[in-house]
Amino acid sequence: MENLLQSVNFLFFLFLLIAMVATQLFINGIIAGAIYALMASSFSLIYNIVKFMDLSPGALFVVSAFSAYVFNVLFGLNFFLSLILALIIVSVVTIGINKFVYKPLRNKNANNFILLLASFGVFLFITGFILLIFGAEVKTFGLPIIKGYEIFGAIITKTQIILIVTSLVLFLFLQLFMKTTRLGKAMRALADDRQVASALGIKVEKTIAVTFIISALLAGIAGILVALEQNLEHAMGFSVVLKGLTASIVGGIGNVPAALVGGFLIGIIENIGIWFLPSGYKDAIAFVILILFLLFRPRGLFGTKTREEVSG
Amino acid sequence: MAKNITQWIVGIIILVIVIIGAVLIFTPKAEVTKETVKIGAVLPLSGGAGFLGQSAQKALILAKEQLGDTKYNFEVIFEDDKLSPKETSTAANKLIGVDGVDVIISETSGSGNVVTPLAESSKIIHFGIASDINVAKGKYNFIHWTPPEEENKVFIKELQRRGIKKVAILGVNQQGERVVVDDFKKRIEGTNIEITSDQLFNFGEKDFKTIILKAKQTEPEIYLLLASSPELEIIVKQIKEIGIEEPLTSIESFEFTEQPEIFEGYWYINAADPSEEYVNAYKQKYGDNPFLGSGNVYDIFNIIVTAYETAGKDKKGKPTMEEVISELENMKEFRGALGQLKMLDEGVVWSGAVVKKVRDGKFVTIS
Repeated sequence: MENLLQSVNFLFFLFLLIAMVATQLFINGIIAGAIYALMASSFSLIYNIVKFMDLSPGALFVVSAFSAYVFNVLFGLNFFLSLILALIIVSVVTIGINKFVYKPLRNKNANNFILLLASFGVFLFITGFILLIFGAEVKTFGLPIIKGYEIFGAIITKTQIILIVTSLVLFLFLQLFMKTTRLGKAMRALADDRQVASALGIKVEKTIAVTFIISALLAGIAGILVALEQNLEHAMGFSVVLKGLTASIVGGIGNVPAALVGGFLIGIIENIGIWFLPSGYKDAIAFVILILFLLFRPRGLFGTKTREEVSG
Repeated sequence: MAKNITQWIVGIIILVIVIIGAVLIFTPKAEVTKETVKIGAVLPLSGGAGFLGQSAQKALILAKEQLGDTKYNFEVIFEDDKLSPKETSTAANKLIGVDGVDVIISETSGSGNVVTPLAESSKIIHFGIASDINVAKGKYNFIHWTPPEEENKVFIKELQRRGIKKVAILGVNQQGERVVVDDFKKRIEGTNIEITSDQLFNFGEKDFKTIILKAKQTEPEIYLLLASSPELEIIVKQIKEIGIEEPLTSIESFEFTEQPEIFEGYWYINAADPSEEYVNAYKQKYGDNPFLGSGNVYDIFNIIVTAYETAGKDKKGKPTMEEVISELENMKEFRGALGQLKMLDEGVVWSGAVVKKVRDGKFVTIS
C-alpha cells in the first residue's frame, strides 16, 4: 500500500513537472510567436492588397526600434511619446518608400519579382543607413531586470505579456478596421480586383498608401517591443524578415488572420523543437516547416486554392 | 654687367651647396634607410565586442609610441572584422594581398582559425589571441593566451574549494568556447563534479528562454556562461527574469561585456591579469582601464619587435620570415605586460589563470 502511495505521489509530481515545463514551453513559443505574427501580418497585408512580397517592413522594424531609442534614451522623452514619434517616423518613411520606389515601378508595370528586388534593395539601404548612423554596437533601453510573474508554474515578464496582448489586440483592431470602416472595405475591394475597385470610385493609390502605413505600424510596434524585450542593433531585421515570411507562408500568404496563426505556430513548434534538439537547430526547425508546407501545402494552412488547383 | 652675372652665378651655386648641405646634415639618415615591418591587426573594432577590439587597438598604439630607437620602422594597419569570421577573411586577405603585411594579429579563436591557414599559405607570421590550440597550427602561427587547460585547472580547483558539484553550461557554438568545454569535460573525469546540462546556441540568438529552462530542470548548483556581448547580456537578463537564483560563473566571459554590474558578486576564471605598470601606462594615456586581451596584444607587438630586431641585428635589410620565426622559437622567456611569459614549443606564449570576482561593478582578482 505504501509503495502504491509512493508511486502515485511520484507520478503526480512527474505530471506536475511535465505540466509546468509544457506550460513554460508553450508560453515561450507564444512570446516568440507574437513577434512573428506581427511581422507576418505586416507582410501579408501588403501581399493581399498590393500583390507583392514587400521586405521593407523588416527595415521599418529596425527604424522604429532605433527611433524610439533615440527619443526615449538619448533625448529622455516619455516612453509613450517616443513610441508615437517612432511610429510617425516609420509612417513617413513608408510613404516615402511607396512614393519614390514602388509607385514609379508600378506605373511602369514592373512585375512582382522586380518589386521584390526593389524592396530587398530598400531593406538593405535602410539597414545600412542605420549602421552608418548608429554603428554596429548593440543598444538597450536599459530597463531594470525584474523577475517575471508565475502563471501555472511558468514565468512570464511584464514586457512579454505586453508583447502578446499587443499582438492580439492589434490583430483584432485590424480585423475590425478591415470589416467595418470604409477604408478597410476599400482595401478588401482592392485585394479582390484592382480594376473593379477603381471603376467603383475607390482611390487606388490612397488606399495602397494606407495599406503601407498600417503594415509599417505593425512592423514598427513589433520592432519597439523586441527592442524592449531583447536589445537593438542594425541587423535585427534580418531574422524577423525570415521568420515573418515563413509564418505568413505557413498560415496562408495574403491572409492576415492566417499569418497570425502561422506566427504563433512557428514560435511554438520552434520552442518545443529545441527542447528535444540543440537550440542551434531553431532556425532549421522553422525552415523545415516552411519546406514541408511549400512541398505539400503551398497555399498554407488557411490559404485559398489557386485557379490551377481548383480546375485540377 | 658680366661681373654682376658672375656674382649672381657664384651666389646661386653657394646657396644650392648650402641647401644641399643642410638637407644632408639635418635629414636623419636612419629614417631614410629604415625598412618597415608591417603589422596587420584584425580586431573587432565595432559590434557587440567592439570595446575589446578598441582596447586592443589602443594597446598597439601605446606599444608603438613606447618603442625606443629601433632598426626597423614598425607600422600597424587596423582592420575591423566585427567578430564575424566572414569579415575576418575579407580583412585578412586585404592585409595580406593589398597592404603586404609581414605579421597579422587576430583576436578570438573564431577569427584566429580563419587567419591561420591564410598566414600559413602566405608565409607570414600570425599571432592569435585565442584559446583554441589549432590557431597555432603550422610553422607561421602563434598564440598568446592562457591555455584552456590552465583555466580549467584553476576552475575545477575553485569549484571543489566551494563544494560545487553540479554545473550547467550555457555556451555559444564557437571554437574558443567549445575548446574550453571539451577540456573541462576531460578534466572532471574522476572528480565529483558533473555537467548536468550543456546547452549550445548560435551567434545572434536572442531568445534563450527554452534552453535556460532545459538547464534549470537539471537542478545545477551553478551556471557556467560561455558567451560574449550581446548574447551574454540577454542570457543573463532572461536567467534573472525566469527567477533562477543559483550563482553564475564564467571562464573569461564576464569580461566580454561593458556591463559588469549584471554579474555583481559572482566569481569567475580569467586569463592572466596585466601588470600594474601596463595598466597605469594605459590609464595615463587613455583615462580608462584596459579590457581583456589588451595586455596580450601589447606583448605580441613587443615580441614581434624583439624578434625582428634580434634577427636583423647584423643584416643590411629586413630579416627573412624564417629568421624571425627562428628568433621567436628561440625566445624561451619574455617579460611583458602579462608578467614573465613562457614560450612553449607549440607556438604558445603561456600565461597563468586567475580567479576573479565582480565587486562594485569592477573586476577584482581574488586569487
